[in-house]
Amino acid sequence: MIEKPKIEEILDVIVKKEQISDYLLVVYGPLNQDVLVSTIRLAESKLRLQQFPQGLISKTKAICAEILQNINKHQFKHDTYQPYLVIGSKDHTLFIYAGNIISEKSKAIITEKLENYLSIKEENFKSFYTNAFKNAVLTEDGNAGLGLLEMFYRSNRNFKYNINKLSENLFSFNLNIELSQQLVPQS
Amino acid sequence: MARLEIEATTSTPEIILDPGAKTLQIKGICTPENPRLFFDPLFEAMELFQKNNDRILIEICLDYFNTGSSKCLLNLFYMISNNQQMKQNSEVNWVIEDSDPDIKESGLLFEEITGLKFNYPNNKSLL
Repeated sequence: MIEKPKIEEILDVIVKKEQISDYLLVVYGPLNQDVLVSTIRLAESKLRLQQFPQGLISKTKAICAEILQNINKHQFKHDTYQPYLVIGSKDHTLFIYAGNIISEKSKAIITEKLENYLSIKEENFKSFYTNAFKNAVLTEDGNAGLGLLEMFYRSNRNFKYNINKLSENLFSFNLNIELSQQLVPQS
Repeated sequence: MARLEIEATTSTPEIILDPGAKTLQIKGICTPENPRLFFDPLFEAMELFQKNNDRILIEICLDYFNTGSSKCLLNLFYMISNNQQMKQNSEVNWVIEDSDPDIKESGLLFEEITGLKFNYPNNKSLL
């Protein structure tokens, strides 16, 4: 997992530890809604070029939309640490790495959610997801609070994360999602 | 009531509610920063539409959408499914590009939750 979110270190970690053979997309630094849409369009084009199946492309787009939207809504300005999104592949499996800075309050919320998702047995996860979706309430600013759950569900729980302390109230949140072609249901 | 037309942007879909034809079409990308604000005009128009109509054909052709929009779509379907007459007479065409199983799975979830009749046509718009 990534512990030092500077872009050269991020890529170094991915190469050495995760052994990604192909980088498909690297986005680094502050973003807005236009960058979000452009990034997803570029990711789709790269995946089509590499002839990934449609279902995997759709999963990647949906997951990246949640990741980038979270970063866009909750990004902190920081001199050293910047948000990032990296999509790589190895042997027809896609790897999505992303990270951003979060507050102590967000850390508590994210940790509670993710640990809860991880504790749910695989056979119960679909019904948990369905119930959470049915019961979610949109906030005034349009948040459903389902982004992390969506990433978990669409990746079939191939989701790892870590949170590292940067300063008194700031933390880096890093996630790693693996999407294999076996995840794509038959059409 | 008047026809509702919302033009597509880079992050929001085209929406056309045609009371004469009794159809609603939502097409494009759906990642508004605030889905609630974006869908509010549609919800208001649908409330008016339901007062004088007992059926609708909804066609949805979305490239991708965020979870906030997904929740708004569920609320839209609930508006139909909570009215028994509307529910019986209405259908949703959940259009799938390139036989996309992931997009179809999202439609199946809406169908399971709301009990509305969903069709899964490929690629081309039926409206």
